[in-house]
Parts: sequence; C-alpha cells; structure tokens
Amino acid sequence: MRKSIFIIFLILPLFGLSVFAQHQVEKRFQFPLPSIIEVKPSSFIYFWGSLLGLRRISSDLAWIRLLQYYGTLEDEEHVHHLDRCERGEYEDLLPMCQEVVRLDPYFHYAYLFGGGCLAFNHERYDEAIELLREGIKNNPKFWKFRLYIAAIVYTRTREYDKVVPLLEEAIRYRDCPEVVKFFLASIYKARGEFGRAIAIWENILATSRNDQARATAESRLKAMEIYR
Amino acid sequence: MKKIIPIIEYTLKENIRHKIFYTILLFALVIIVSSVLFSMLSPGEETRVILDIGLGAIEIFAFLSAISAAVGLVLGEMENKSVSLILARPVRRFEYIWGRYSGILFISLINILVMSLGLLFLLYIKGWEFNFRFLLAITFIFLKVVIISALAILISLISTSAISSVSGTFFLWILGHVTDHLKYLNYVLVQKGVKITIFLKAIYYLLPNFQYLNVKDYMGYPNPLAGTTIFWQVAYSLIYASVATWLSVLVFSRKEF
Repeated sequence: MRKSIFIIFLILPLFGLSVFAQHQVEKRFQFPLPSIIEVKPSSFIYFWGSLLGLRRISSDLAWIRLLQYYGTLEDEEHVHHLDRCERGEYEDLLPMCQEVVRLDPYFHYAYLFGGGCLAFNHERYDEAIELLREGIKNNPKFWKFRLYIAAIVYTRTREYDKVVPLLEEAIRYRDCPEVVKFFLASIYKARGEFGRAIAIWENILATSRNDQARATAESRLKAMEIYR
Repeated sequence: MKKIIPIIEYTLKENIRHKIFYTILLFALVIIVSSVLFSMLSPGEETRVILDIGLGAIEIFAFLSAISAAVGLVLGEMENKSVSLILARPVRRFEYIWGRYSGILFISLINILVMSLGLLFLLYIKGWEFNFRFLLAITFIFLKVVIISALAILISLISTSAISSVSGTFFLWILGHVTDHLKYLNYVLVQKGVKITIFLKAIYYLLPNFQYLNVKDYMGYPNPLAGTTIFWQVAYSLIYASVATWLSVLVFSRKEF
C-alpha cells in the first residue's frame, strides 16, 4: 500500500510536468495544417489517412488520382471540345487541385501544375489565379506563384511580349511543369522563332520523366521537320 | 539499474527470436521499395512520393512492432504465468516493467533505423537532396513509438485479452492524432450553449498529442521548428511516456500472480 501511494505521489507531479510541457509546445507552435473537418475530403481514404497521421500520403494519393483524371480522355459527350484543349474540359480539375493542396498546403508543384494547366491548356484564367492565390496565402515566401500569376494575366490580355520573359524565367527551374514549357514553345512557334521552340521540346524529350509529355514533345518535333 | 539491463537483454532476445519481428520488418521494407511503383504514377514528384510512403511505412510498422511486443510479451507472459518465474528472482516489479519497456524501445529503435537506412538508400538512388527534416521526422516517429509503447503496456495490463489491448492501443493512436479537434468541438459546443470546456480540456491533456510530433506531415512547412519548440516536444513525449509507465508499474504492483 505504501508503495502504491509513493508511485501515485510520483505520477501526479510528472503529469503536471507533462501538462506544462504540452502548454509550452502550444505557446510556441501551432499545427500548420487545416483541420481535416474543414478540408472535407472527397474520399474516406484521405479522411482515415489523416486520422492515422498520414496526411501527406493522403495528399499524394489525391495527387495521383488528379494525374490519372487529367491523363485520361474524357467521355464521348466532351469530344466536341477536342479542338480546344485536345482531350476534354476537365471541369473537376480545380476542385481536385484544391483538395490536393488543402490536404498538404505546402505542395508547391500541385499549385504550379494546376495553375499552368487551367490557364495555358484550358484558358480558365480565373480558376488558375484562384488556385495560385491560395498558394500565395499558404506559402507567402514562395515567389514563383507570383511569377505564374503575372504570366497568366498577360496571357489573358494577349500581351505576349510581357509573357515570354516571365515564362523564360519559369522554365529555368527544375520544378517547372511541362505544361508551361509547352505553352512557351507554342508562343515561340506562333512568332516564327522555331529554333527556340525546338530547343524547348528537345529539352522536354531529354529531361522529362513524364511519358506523355515526352511523346507530345516528340510529335511536335516531328511536325517541325516540315518547317525546317 | 543492474537488474533492469538483463530484462532489456531478455526482451531484445525474445523479440529477435519472434518471427513476427522479421515479418513486420520485411513487410515494411517491401512497402518502402514498392513506393517506387507509386512514384512512377506521379512524374515530377517521384522523390516526394517515395519519401512520404517510406516515412509512413516506417511509422506504421514501428507502431505495429511496438504493439505486438508490448501486448505479446507482457500480456503473454502474464497469461502463461511465466512472469512468476521472473518475479521469483530478486527483481522488483517496477524494474520488470521499466526493463520490458526499455527493451521494447530498443527493438523499435533498431527497427526504425533499419527501415530508415533502406529508405535513405532508395532516395539516394533517386537523386533526392538530403533535408535535415528527414532526421527530425525519424526522431519524432521514434518519440511517438516511445509514447504508444508505454500506453500499450498500460492497456495490456488493464485489459484481459490481446484483442482488447491491441484495439485499445489502436484507438488511442487515432485519438492522439485528433486531439486538436477537441478545441474545435469545444468551440462548436460553446456556440450551441453547451459548456463542457473543463471536461474537454481534461481529456485534451490526458490523451497523447501525436500531432506535435507529426513532422513528416508538414515536411514542406516553410518555417523551421525552433530549438526550444523541439526541446519542449521531446520533453513532453518523455514525460508523458514516463507517466504512462509509472501508471503501468502501479497497476502491475497491485496484481496478484
């Protein structure tokens, strides 16, 4: 009995210390991710992933799902849009991108990819800017989002002379999505600067790990043989 | 201390003899390697996917190995009465519990280090640039295991079967990741005129808070963690785990064999 009382008297101050330590952590640190209840994930897998402390894996799974969605042909009813964005409209592109970046607000590439696709492939400038603005809110120090927004705004107003230097800067970075490179190459092509366009496609062919992007670059290069 | 070391050694040997230890380790390494397949589905962000799946696998399998050790060894020993053989020797009960607990932590540490080396090797092949947060994430995964192992022992001493102790520990693992939501729940309840703030606060401090230690979930967070924050996070984990272990000692000292 005396032993038990001794242990209880040992536990009580230790528990007080644990509460104090927790309070000290709280004072210095706020968990930097939005609550999973606020995110309202579309799949119970992401929800359970978060409950198990696997939030970034949930974001990766949502990201892979987004890539699968964007890499697949849309159904018959969207075929009439093929001339505009080649494969479909992908109306869910923005909500899917938002889900990825709300699960992990520091996933920079997802913002750049989503913003680039929405603006340069689908001409949905407002949606692209909405996504990139969310990126700036969560990552104020990541300046590339501002660069992309500027490029998108100039693209919208068709001020290509101002777009080109911004995109030339963007493609210098390793995390630049292929969609931006293709867009710049198409501007070069339209302006008759074939050498620069070819250089970009050759760069994609040599460095990209994305099979689809490499295949597209190859087909563009084959088409350019006519111009050469 | 002299009496605790043989118990640690005994726990280590017992764990190493267990087939489940190798099964968990092998399965974890398979998952880590298979993350390469997932990374192929995500061009542009391959190393991120490998890193995330790898760290997730390390955490989950370290957790499973700690649970299986805590529940299998302590509860198993009580069920087959072999604990009496140890306690018949000049070993005090608190030495037995602390020895067992330290042994489990030791084996978990070995587990985590082996898996981390496997993951680092894979990331190195893929050309990943080393980030200091990786080490912090691994350290904090170990701290989570430090807490959950202590709780697993406590639950296995309170409960009557292996299933109930495993499910109880699993339940605490989930609750530990959502304790922050109690603040939100409190906010919602206060809005509706229900005031149970003190009750919720008590639960909040009683439950472990694993979110503090979940560095692997905010690897991309731009602000680095300050040294004092890390110090308090480590202090919190160690103190909380020692409270749980002393509670186990209290429960164990009142048991009759």
